[in-house]
This record gives sequence, C-alpha cells and structure tokens, in this order.
Amino acid sequence: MMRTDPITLEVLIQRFRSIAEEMGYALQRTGHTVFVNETADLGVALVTPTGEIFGYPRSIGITMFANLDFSELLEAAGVLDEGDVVICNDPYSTGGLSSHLPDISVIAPVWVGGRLICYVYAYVHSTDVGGKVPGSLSPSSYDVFQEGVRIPPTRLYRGGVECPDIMALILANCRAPKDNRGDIRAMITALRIGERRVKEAVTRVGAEIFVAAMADALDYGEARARRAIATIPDGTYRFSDYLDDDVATRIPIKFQVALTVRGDGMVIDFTGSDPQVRSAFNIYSKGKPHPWLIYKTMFLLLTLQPDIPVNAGMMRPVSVVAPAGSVVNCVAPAAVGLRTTAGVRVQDALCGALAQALPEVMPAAGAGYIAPVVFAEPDLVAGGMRVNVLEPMVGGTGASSAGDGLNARDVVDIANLRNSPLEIVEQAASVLVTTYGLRPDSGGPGLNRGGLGAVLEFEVLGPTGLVTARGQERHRFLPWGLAGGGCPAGARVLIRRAGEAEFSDLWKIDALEVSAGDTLRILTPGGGGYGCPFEREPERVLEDVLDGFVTREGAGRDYGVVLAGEAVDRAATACLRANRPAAAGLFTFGKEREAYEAGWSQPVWDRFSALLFALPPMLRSDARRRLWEDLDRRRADGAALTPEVVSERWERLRRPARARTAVPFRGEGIA
Amino acid sequence: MVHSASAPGRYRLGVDIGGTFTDLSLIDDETQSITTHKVQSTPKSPSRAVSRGIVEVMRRVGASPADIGSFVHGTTIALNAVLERRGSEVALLVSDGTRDILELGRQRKSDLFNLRAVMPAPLVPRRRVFEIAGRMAADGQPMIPLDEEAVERAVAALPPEVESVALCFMNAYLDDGQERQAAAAAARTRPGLHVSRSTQLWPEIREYERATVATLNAYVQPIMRRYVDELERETAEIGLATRLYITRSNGGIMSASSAREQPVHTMLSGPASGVVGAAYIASRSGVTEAVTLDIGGTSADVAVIRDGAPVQSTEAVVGDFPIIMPAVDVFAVGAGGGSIAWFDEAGLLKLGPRSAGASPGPACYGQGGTEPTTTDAYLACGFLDPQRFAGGAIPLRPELAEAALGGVASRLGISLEQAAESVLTLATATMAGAILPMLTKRGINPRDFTLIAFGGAGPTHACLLAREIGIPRVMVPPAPGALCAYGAAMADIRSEQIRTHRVAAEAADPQVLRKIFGELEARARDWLAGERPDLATIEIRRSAGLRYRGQAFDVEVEIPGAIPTAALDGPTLAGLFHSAYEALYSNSDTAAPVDIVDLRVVIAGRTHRPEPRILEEAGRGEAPPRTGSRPIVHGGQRHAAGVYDRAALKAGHVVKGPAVIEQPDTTTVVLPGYLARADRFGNLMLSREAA
Repeated sequence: MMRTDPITLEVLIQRFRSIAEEMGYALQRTGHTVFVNETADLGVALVTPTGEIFGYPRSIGITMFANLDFSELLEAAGVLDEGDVVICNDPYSTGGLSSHLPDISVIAPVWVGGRLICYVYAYVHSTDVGGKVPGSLSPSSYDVFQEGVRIPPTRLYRGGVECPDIMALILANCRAPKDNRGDIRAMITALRIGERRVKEAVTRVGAEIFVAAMADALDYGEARARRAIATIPDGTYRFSDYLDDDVATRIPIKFQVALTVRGDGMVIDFTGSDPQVRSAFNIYSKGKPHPWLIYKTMFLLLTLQPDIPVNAGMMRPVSVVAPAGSVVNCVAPAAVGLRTTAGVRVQDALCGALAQALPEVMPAAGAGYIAPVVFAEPDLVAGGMRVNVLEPMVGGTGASSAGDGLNARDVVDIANLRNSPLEIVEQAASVLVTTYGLRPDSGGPGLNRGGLGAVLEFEVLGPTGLVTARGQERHRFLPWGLAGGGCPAGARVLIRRAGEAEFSDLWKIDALEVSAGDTLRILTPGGGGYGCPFEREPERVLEDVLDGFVTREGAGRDYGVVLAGEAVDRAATACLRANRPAAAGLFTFGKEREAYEAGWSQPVWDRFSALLFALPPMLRSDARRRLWEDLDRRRADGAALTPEVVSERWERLRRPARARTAVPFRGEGIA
Repeated sequence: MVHSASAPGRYRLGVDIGGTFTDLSLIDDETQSITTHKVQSTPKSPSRAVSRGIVEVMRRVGASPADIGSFVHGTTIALNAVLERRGSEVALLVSDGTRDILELGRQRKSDLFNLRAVMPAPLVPRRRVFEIAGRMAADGQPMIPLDEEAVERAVAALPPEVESVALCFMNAYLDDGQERQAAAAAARTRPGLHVSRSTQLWPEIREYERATVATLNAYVQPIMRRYVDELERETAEIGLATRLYITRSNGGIMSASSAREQPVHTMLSGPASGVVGAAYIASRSGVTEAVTLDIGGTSADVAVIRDGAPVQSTEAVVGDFPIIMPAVDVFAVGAGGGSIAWFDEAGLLKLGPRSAGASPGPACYGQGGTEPTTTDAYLACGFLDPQRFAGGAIPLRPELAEAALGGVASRLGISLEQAAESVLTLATATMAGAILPMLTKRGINPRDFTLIAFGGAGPTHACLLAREIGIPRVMVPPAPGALCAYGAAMADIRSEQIRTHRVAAEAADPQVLRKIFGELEARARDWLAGERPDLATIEIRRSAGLRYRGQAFDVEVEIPGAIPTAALDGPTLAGLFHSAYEALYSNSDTAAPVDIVDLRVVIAGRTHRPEPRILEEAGRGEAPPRTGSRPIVHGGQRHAAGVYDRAALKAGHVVKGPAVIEQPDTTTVVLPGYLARADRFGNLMLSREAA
C-alpha cells in the first residue's frame, strides 16, 4: 500500500528522474573524454540507503543499468559521512556494481538534518585504466589483473576534501591520467548537483514524505512491472545462443536460458551455460539479476508499458539462477573486460526464450555485434602512436510483427552510441574511407525484413598501421530468424593487400598489421527476418529492390519474387512462389548452427556441461578445452555424439597420461 | 558604413502565422503604440489570411497598406512541410561510397527502450541517392576528378516529379569546387531544377549533417518559392509597397529572395522570434539574464537569454533531423493548455503528452472535448474569467470543465477544487521535470535568472513554475500574445559564415587565420548589402571553435572587438579558449595543447528599433484600480483574489497577490505572497513579497 498520496508520488517520481538527468547532463558537459562526450557511456542514479536505484535518467547515459545493486558496495564502504565520496571500479569487491574495470564509479551520501536520505551515484567509462593494452580491454586477457588498476571501495574524499594519495595512486596506474582526472572531477560535479537537488526537494516536501516516496516509487515500478509480466503466458521457455569462439580457443561459448514465467514473476535459469572462459568474455553477476543478464526483459516491459518509471523496482519481479564459475557468474580472478560482447549474446538467448512466450511482440535476433574499429599508426610529428576509432561498427536489428528491422542500429540502444563523421575520421587517421554504407541482401528475409548490416571499407594512406576490432562476432553462428523469417548475412572481414586485384577473406581481426595501399573491408551482420518471406507483398519486395536493399537475385532467391524492369512479374512470381520452402519451426538458425547442433545435441551438451561443472572451477577451463576438442574432432569426422560417448571420452581423458603411455625420458632428439 | 535614409512608411508590421490564428503586430514609429490583430489562418493558402489581416489592421489604425515601411514575416511553412512530410520530391548526389549517408545518419535510434521501434522514412528514398565519382582528399587537394557525365546521366534520368536536387560531397567543406561543378552540370542538364549545395548552405566539417541541411533545403525550396511569390503578389495587390523580410532560425531576418534560395534557415524561426522580442523588451527593463516560457496549447517552449541576447545552439533538430547552423536554442516541453490528465492502470494521475489541441480543445471550450485539461483546471481554480478569456472570443463553460474534472475528483475521493489544483500541480511538475535538466545541460542556475512569460498561458502559469524551479522573478511583457510578431518586426538582419580550419593552435599560420577571417567578413558584408536593408548599425562578431587535443567537442570562443584581425594568431586564440573553458567548466588546463576547429563570423544589421511605449506614472502610493474580485484556489485553499485590468495599470502600480490581471491575450496570475509591479515600459515584474 502506498504511503504517499498519488499526486505527490507522481510529482516526486518525475523529480527523481529529473534530478538524475541533471546529474547526467552535468557529467556529460564537464567530462573530458570521447566516451563521455560522444557516446555518453556514463551513468548516474539516486540510490536508496538499502542500495536500490530509485531515480534514473531517461534522456541521457546508459539505458540498461536501472537495477544495479549497490548493497554490497554500501556494506563494504561502511558509514559515509557528509562530504565523503567513495570510488571503486572492481567488480569483485562491489558485487558487480562496476562490471569491468574501465567503469570507474563514485558514490556519496546525502544527509539532511542528521538523517541519511539516500546516495548519489555516477560512473564513466574511462578511456584507459592501465592493464596490458591501451584502452584496457583485450579479448585475450585471462585474468582481471591484466585489465587494469583495481579499486575496491575507497574513500576518495573525506568530509569534502580530496585524498590526494588515493588520487595519485589511481592515476599512476593509468595511461592518460589527465583524462581520468577530468572525468573523476566531472563525476564529483555531478554528485554535488544531485546532492544539492535532493536536499532542496527534502526541504520542500519534508524528509518523511521524500523517504516514503522513494519506497513508493520502487513499489509502484514493481507493481507496474508485475502487471505487465502477468500478461505474458505462463510457462518455461528454453533457448540458447552462442558466441563464435572464446578467442583463446575455437570453442563456441554457449549461453543457455530456461525462462519461467509464473503469474507476475519471472525466473531466468542460466544452468547449462558454459563454464567461465580463459579470456575476457565473462560476466561477474554474483548470481544476481545483474543488468548484463536481464536488460532486455526491462526493454520488453517498457515496450509493453512505455510509461513505467525506470527504477530498480521494475526488475524486482525478475530473479535469476546463474551457477557460480559459469560464464554468466564467473569467480575471481576471471577477466571480464569484454562483458559487453558476452552480455549482448546473453540477451539474444533471453530474447529467444521470450519470443516463444510472445511471438507477436518480440523481434527476431538483431546482429548482436558491436566492434569499434581502431586504427593505430606511428605519430611522425609528436612521436608515439596515434590511435583513433574509425567507426563503432554495428549491424541491423531484427524484424518484428511491427515492421522491418532497423538498418545498422542494433545494440546502439544500450547507451546512446553515435558513429563518427567520415570527414573527421579522415582528418584524424591516415586512411581513405572508400565505402561506409549498408550491405544489400544482408537483412534476414521475411514477411518483415531484418535490418541491413553495414560495410566499412578503407584504404591505408600512411606507411603503416595496426587495426584492431574487439567484439567481432556472428562470423559463424548467425542471428536467428523468427516465425519463418530467415537468417541474415553473417559478419565478414576481407583484405586486399596493396598490388593485389582481389579481396580475400580473413578470420576475425586480432591485431592486423597493414601498410600503405592495403584496403580492408569489414561487414557486419543484418538482423533476422520475421515471418515467411514468400508472404511478403511483392510490391514491398519491389520497393526494396528499387532502393537497393535487396538485389534482383535476392528477390528471386529469398522472396520468390521475379521483377520485370521496375514492375513485378506476377506470373513468374506466382510460379516461383508455388514452390515455397517447407514451413520451419518458430526459429531459423542457419546451416552452421544446425550442423553444429546435429552433433552437439541438447542431451550431449547436458552431459558435457554436467561433467565440467562437477569439477572445481579452476579445473574446468582446461577440461573443457580437452574434452570439447576431442569430441568435436569426432563430430567433424561424422561420428555420432551421444551422452554415453561424452562420458566415455571424459573417462579416458581424465586418467593420468602416465597410466596409458608410460615412456621414460631418454634424452632430447630421440624418438 | 553608409546608411540609407530612413524608410518612408510610418508603420512596421510583423506577421506570424500559427496553426489556428495569424497574428499581426503593427508598430507605429511615431506614437510607439503597438496594435495587435488576429485573423483566422487559412492553411490551404496562408498568404490570404496575411493580406486580409493587413487590410483589417490598417483600417483599424486609419491608414493604408502603403504606409507600411517595413514588413517582416514569420512562417512555419518550411517546418510544417518537413514535419508533415509534404515537401518536394528530391534527389541527392553524393560521393562514391557514401550512398547511405542519410540512412546511416549518426546511427541514433530515437526510442531506445522500444524493441519494436520503426524508423521514419528518410526525406530522400535510397533510389534517389546517386553516387558520383570524384573525391577531395582530407587535406583539401583533389584526389579523383569529378565525373560530370555521371551527374548529367543521373539528372537526365530523374522523373519529372523531382523538382529539386541536393548535393553533398566528401571533404567539400575544404574546397567546394567539385560541388559547384556538379551543381552547374545539374542545372545545365535540366534548367529550372532547384539545386541545393551543402557547402553553400553551411560549409562545416561533418558530411551527414551537411547532407541533411542540403536535403532539407531542397525538400522545402519549391514550396517556399511558390509561397513567397504568392505572398509578394497578394500584398502588392492590396497596396503594400515595402520589401518583404522573412524571419530566420537564428532570430534574425533575411530578404524574401534569400528565403527563396535558402529556406532551410527559416525552419526554426517561429519560436525564435518570440525570444528575440522578449530579449529586447527585457533588456530595456534591465533584465539581461532570463529564461523564457511560452505556453501554448500543446507545448511549452523554453529558451535562455544571456547578456541580453537569445542563446544560440548548433544542436537543434527538426523532427529527427539535425540542424547544425546556429539557431535560437528553444526546447519544447510536452505540457500546454490542452494537455490531458489521465489515470494509468495502477491508478496514478498523469498529465500529457496527449493534448486536446485546438480541436476539440479543452472541455470548457464546449467543442466536444470531455477529458480534463490544464485549461479546465485553470478555469476551475478561478485563474480565468469565462467571459473574458481570449478577449471574449471563446466563451468558456465552467460546468463542462467541472464535469471533466469530476472524474478525477471522484476517483481520488477529493473535492473538485482539489482535483483541479492537482492537475495544475502535475502540469508544473511535468514542466519543471523537463526544464531543470535542460537548464543544467546549458550550465544555468535558475536562481540567477528571471522568468519571462508569454504566449496564451505563460503568464497564467508563471508563478507556479517559478516557485517550483526556484526562479525568483517573473516578467510579463506588455503584449504577451503578440511577442513573436513583435520580435519579427524588430529583428536584426543576421547571418553567420563559417570555415572549418583544423589545425594545432601553436602551429597555425597567423597569415592564414587573418586571411580566412577577412574573407568571411567580406562575404558577410556582401550578403548584407544584397539584402538591401534599411539599417541603423552594423555589428560584426568573430569567433572560433577550439578544443583540447583529443577532446570530442568544441567551445566557441568570441574574439573581443579590441583584438584586430591583423593581430590574431594561434596562441591568442588558445589563450581566449583557456579562459572561456575555465569560465564554463572551472576545469581548464593551460598546459594542454589546443586545436583550432573552425572560424566564424556573424554579421548583424540592426534595423531601427521601435522605442517601447512609456506608461503614465502612478501617483505616490496610488493603488491600482481594482475591477472586482473572485476566488482562486491555491495551496488547498480559496483566496479572494483582486481582479485588475492590465490596460488600466500605470507605471509604479503594485498589485498584491492573490490577484489576477486580465488583458485580451492572456491572464496573469499573482499567487498569494507575490507582488506584481508595473514598470514604466508596461512590463509586470513579479516577485515574492519581502517577508
């Protein structure tokens, strides 16, 4: 039951959001670095004394962190006096509050008349926090120590005064300390604004009413969310999706979801997801409904009911089961730098489950790809290296019953991502951009077509350079189509070395050395299609062909539509459409995944997973690699995999080698 | 600078076309009196209402259209063509490899949380975007010659319904040679084609934004040209002999012929003129730091005045399209007089963004609306007089307002008056919740500002809002309903010139900097001369965009007039930047390297500004004449409010709240605890009574 009268509650809910937005704009305005100013990879919030977000911005900053849990941070920090500011970035000592080290967080209490009212919070994705590579994020990092300086909850300010030793210690570990200092100062400014505004509101309405409204805002958000969830049919919906590989090995990373809707609540069980990996694709959720595990459920609720206030109350009806030592709940000191790449795929798995419950609402899978293409070259004037992001590459969104997917706009919804003007790119980096545009025929065909992927092609003008693009994905396993819709084109990277006539395919770029005259072409996936493409009105296919989103060949091949000049050839189309492909299931996965799962069937995977999780976490990674490689070799050779085969191979592998091949050392060079 | 003699006509006329009404504001330069006039708009042929209004208003003052010496017109025709997608068929020519310049945009998605979002269609379908071989390199040198034949082929193949072509080539901001060459080829291939060149309109680095400017211009140019032709013809027919000027998004004006060529500059002119008028009136009264509030039917427009001038922005949008030329920085909040109060499914009362608009309008209009709106709440709270609303043009029906608010009252178990006040509380909260973050985004602390309220409902709501956002003073200009037309009548003839010049400040060649400023200034003066204005003074301002190396945003730094162009160099600009940055963010770093991004020149030709009319002084201790009294509801109580006629107030009169001050175009509500003082220019200055 609400303690606050409904008018006051609505007024204060708006005020909570508005204070958070003020903090966000103050942070963006005073922040120094590209992440803050251009991509708004920043966050702010008002937090209750028990650690729940009750005030969250809608028009600025990261969208998905509305239910970050502050309880462990607050417990670790202890009592904070007026003027204290705690800084932290370490996932493992904050209950996953910062989900990777570049996200430096600060938090301060708001005291009014001797009473702790709430906390104000801000974070910024810092350009660099040290670690093994500039920018701190490398897919191949295998423990968190390689990813930068770790800051457990630490008082950066005491009683309004900065602790210079702490600041110096942090900055000494960062490659661009001026940027960090600027960002930290901007965050402090944001906290001060939030603190001032909260105090004003408390003075205006009184502490009792303010505090009651904080609780009521959360309860109200929860009540609205529960009503929305209650409209979702009860049941357990299972789905999984993959990252192509874990970089350290060729082994795909599987995210498996069993989503149970019962009444007005939801449980998402990740059991069966891969063990944590020896690369940076892990998520430290601590087994909680961390935003990186569930944010698309929040988006779904706001799609169903756009006016639900965005706060932690909204996500109270959602709980998770995430086994410790899994890729969705790793244990220290696993590396977590690339949790975005992992988290985006987790959402694809989650959305596949939700699509079974709400096929009329959910879209097909989007590209699930976000990779900043970075070009580093020697700076011949100033010395050192010049490093520029050419473009943050993304792909198409999935189509839904509402219409076609959006071109090259998947994943931009998590923050407020923007691309860079090519004219600025060419000023900053020694490249000539020869094409930046959409990829025809890349959208998954369907009654509603998936959004198109993008292409970036550039020629190197400077003598030499190094290209990286962390987060390239969907080269192998494609985004899925829904309700008869097809898969889109997958990601590709091609290169034409100087003097060569043709482009040739590359696998994903790790750190690619390039020289003058080399041309690199990066293609991102489209989004999945929705509904049977043979049911798309021929006129819409014609429009797509006239606009070049679909080629004439694509129209015939994917849609069964034949064109004569700028018109539909009705007779030929009817003829082609008579042979429509057999109706598939709810999902279309594409050949690669079908072939892989023909061997790695669910029972086989269940056994494989059960064996690994029976081991202590430290042993799983090696066991996973050995057993998977052994089994996959058999699968590739055409041997049938069964749960029994899995167990049998594991029994052989786990026995000490000595027992099988005890050959004593006889000196080097002797066979 | 030589100034032409003063214009022959005695009157200056400002006209502002709205969706429902066309407002005219006639200033008599001899008596300084302002006559405002309203006629029903004629959306199918807007110029008809204009000429009718001119004839009527001139008859009212006993003069003829030939006595008008200056005619400035604000039009939303370009804006509406974009918002309603009624523009022309356009083709776009771009560099090889950039066909999807409009489709990709900045990769923004407007409704981030919506999993089912669909994109609005682009202004130019992809089939009408043509890649043309030819390329400028990033250092401004030609790399690949333009394929003129490709231009000719593309243009020749366009279907007849395409009236307009836009051009935007990569790196053309450095050298527009290829764009000019292609424009000439296009015009040659199809005479009569409208051609919009990105670098002619706004030569700034950033190809998507430039392409958008060119495309928007091309999209509205044929419509604007027809409209201006028609307006000139019709007003000539009724005897108007003066030249026609059109208002611009930057708050200035330009000649009708400039508007025909570059209608994109009119896109955001509507709300800008009101802010210009407010800024002028306010500075006469010594108010130079202000937030303006213009409350209409569906939205409240808010802008900021600093140092006596409207604050400009280069981040404006029209619908989904960015406008990077400087424009008066007006942001709209979805709460106006027609905003509807409703219950969500969990029983919380909310307001807007849905609006009853002009039709059916609020319930109390008696035009079929039944849902409770803000205006119904004003009426039920006693803020409005049902007989005198809008000068008696729309008699309000209190019983209908009460019926609409009755649903709110019964559902919440409160009285009708409480329900009405609750709706106003929500309206205030909605406005404050949007305005406060926007002010912070602009680095403004409301405590140091005055709220200038205009538009139909601005003065009615101003006290409530000022209290909520912590603005200590409210100012209500003399004719709050006609401020846009007034602002248009006295605006400067104004234009900006820009050159992108990216160079490290310490390495910048001073000769090059001086040469660029010289060229920009010459171009600005040429433009102004071509507008053939009747000017009092000319003002030239120079500025430069700079940033810390590696940063992603610039700060525009004004160059003081005391520094001559011949003395400018990189270190001087860097020094100005450091101090401007420190003033803005208290976070400057004089040791860090600075880059120059662009150089700008603004020219403003000042027209003869009207002198405001001076009110008769009230006698010492003389009380303002009170025409009556009625109860108003505020803070859960009824208060007996004095009713005053604005026209009867003299300079120095003080009205003590609770009170309402009525005039044909609005009602000013003075809350309990506030005093309203009339100043000698006829402004009402509201502030809290000293405790």
